[in-house]
Amino acid sequence: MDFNFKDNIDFKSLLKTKQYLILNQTTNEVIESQNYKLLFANIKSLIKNNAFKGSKVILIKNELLTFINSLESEAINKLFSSILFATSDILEVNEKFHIIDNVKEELPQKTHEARKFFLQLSNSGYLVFHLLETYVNTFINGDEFPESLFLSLAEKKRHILKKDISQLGEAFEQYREKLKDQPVYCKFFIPKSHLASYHKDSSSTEGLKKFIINNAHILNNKCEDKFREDLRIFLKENLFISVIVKEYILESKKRLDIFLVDDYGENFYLIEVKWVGESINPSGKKVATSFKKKDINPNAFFQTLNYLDELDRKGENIVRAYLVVFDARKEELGDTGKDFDDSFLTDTQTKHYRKFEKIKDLRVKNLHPS
Amino acid sequence: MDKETQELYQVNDDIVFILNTGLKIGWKEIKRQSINRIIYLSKVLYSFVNQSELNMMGYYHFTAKNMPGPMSSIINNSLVDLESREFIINSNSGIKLNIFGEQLANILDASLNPIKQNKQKWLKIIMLLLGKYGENKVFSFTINDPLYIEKIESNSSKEITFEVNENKTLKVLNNFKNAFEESIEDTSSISKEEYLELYFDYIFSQIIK
Repeated sequence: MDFNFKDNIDFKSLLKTKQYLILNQTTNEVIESQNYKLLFANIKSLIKNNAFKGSKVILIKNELLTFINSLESEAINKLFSSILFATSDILEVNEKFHIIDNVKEELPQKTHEARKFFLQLSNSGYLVFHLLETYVNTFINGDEFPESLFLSLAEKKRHILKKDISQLGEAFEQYREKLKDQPVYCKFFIPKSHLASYHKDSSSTEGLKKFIINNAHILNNKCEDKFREDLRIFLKENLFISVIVKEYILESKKRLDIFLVDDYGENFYLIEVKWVGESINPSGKKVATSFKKKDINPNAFFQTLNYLDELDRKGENIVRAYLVVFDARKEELGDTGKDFDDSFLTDTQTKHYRKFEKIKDLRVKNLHPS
Repeated sequence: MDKETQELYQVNDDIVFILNTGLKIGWKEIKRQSINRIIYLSKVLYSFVNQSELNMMGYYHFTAKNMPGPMSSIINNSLVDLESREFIINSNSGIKLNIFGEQLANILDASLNPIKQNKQKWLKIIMLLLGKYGENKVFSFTINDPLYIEKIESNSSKEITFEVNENKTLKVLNNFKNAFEESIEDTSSISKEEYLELYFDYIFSQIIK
């Protein structure tokens, strides 16, 4: 995260556009009160403790907020156990979270209609809490304090659903498909203009067109950073994970490529990113680095297993270590992990082998150089 | 009573207070790591809201040795002590308060101790701030804390310093506040406490999406 907010023009313009919302939140007496915070935290706990799903509205009269301080600790969970809670769409509760009225009425399906409806309720003397799966959207005296982009379940469900970390395997598959898109893969390879100047520098006797076809597979310099960052951003956008530390440094100063932590901070996943193929040197005039199958199988296998051991000795709870290989080789040569001989593993490596998984190579092919 | 025992009792009081406040916001149990993290945040954020340089949570010493977040050994000692006295129950799902009524009221009582009163007030502010997001998010706050990140990135296992001049979190928060002051016409309605709230909202992309 960029912590330099003061010199961040994007952040500042964001603040300007959100000015109304920010000032609204910081001047609203209800939101600022301790009792409201208690009430809100309790509703948030209700959702979390009871795996709430769906969409529901809880109403409480504004004047009852004063009495919230005497709330019983189990009150909110008792509310959830009530069959009336389960079967109603709109509930009115008192300061002890006892249901005093309930309505079974489908909530508006469109966000703008829902907003209008909730604001109307909030103008009739109610604090309106709209529970939408894990979000709580609040409406107070004609003002809205939303957490979610959508106010209707139907619209939210249409929104891209993020995957749970246990679905990491599916996320890799999704990413594999994404790599087939030209705007995605083209950033890994040297551009056409560069290939043309490279053609000149290489004094090749081939015609330019043929030269481009034959060398389109050449990757940019420092392509490992590009691969790692692209995958990291994809996973961050598509998985529910709290944090991905870009480079978590091991004591031995080796660098871990991607480190994932689940929402509870209990389970850790590491991803080692490698590539096979050829990349250009920093001056862009010749192929400088080339990695082949043996760099992966067995070298990267051993390396990842050694990381696992080191983290294990540090007491970290690593659930899985994945070896991800971007295959940018010119020819179709089959998976780099094929025929791995585990009989060469040391005893220590064998101990961690079951936590290790080699993901089927991610093929990147520069079909249409840009 | 020696200093060490005195501090342990102070920590015991703090933990009982945290567990009791947790109940009021619907947290039936609180994980050991979360207790460490709540106290860590209370300590690290203290100087932002309170002018006094003296951090009243000075008896907590945190290290950033492991990835699961900052840890303080005195908290773990206190949890052992509280469990042996059967004041708490420690289960897989978390730590639960096991004292009630008068006994609980006596531990929480701060009527004759203004420092304890202030500390309870501050811990409550932090917990209400966190209550907005739920216990499962507490982890993310500390792991996204600039001071903590700095320690982890430098691979330092030494104690995290909370000196006002060296506190990276404090610098980031002031930088965050300055950005508001330069972008929003009138920020007089935004208190320091609200800046904290807005900052956390930002981390979790809530209000300032």
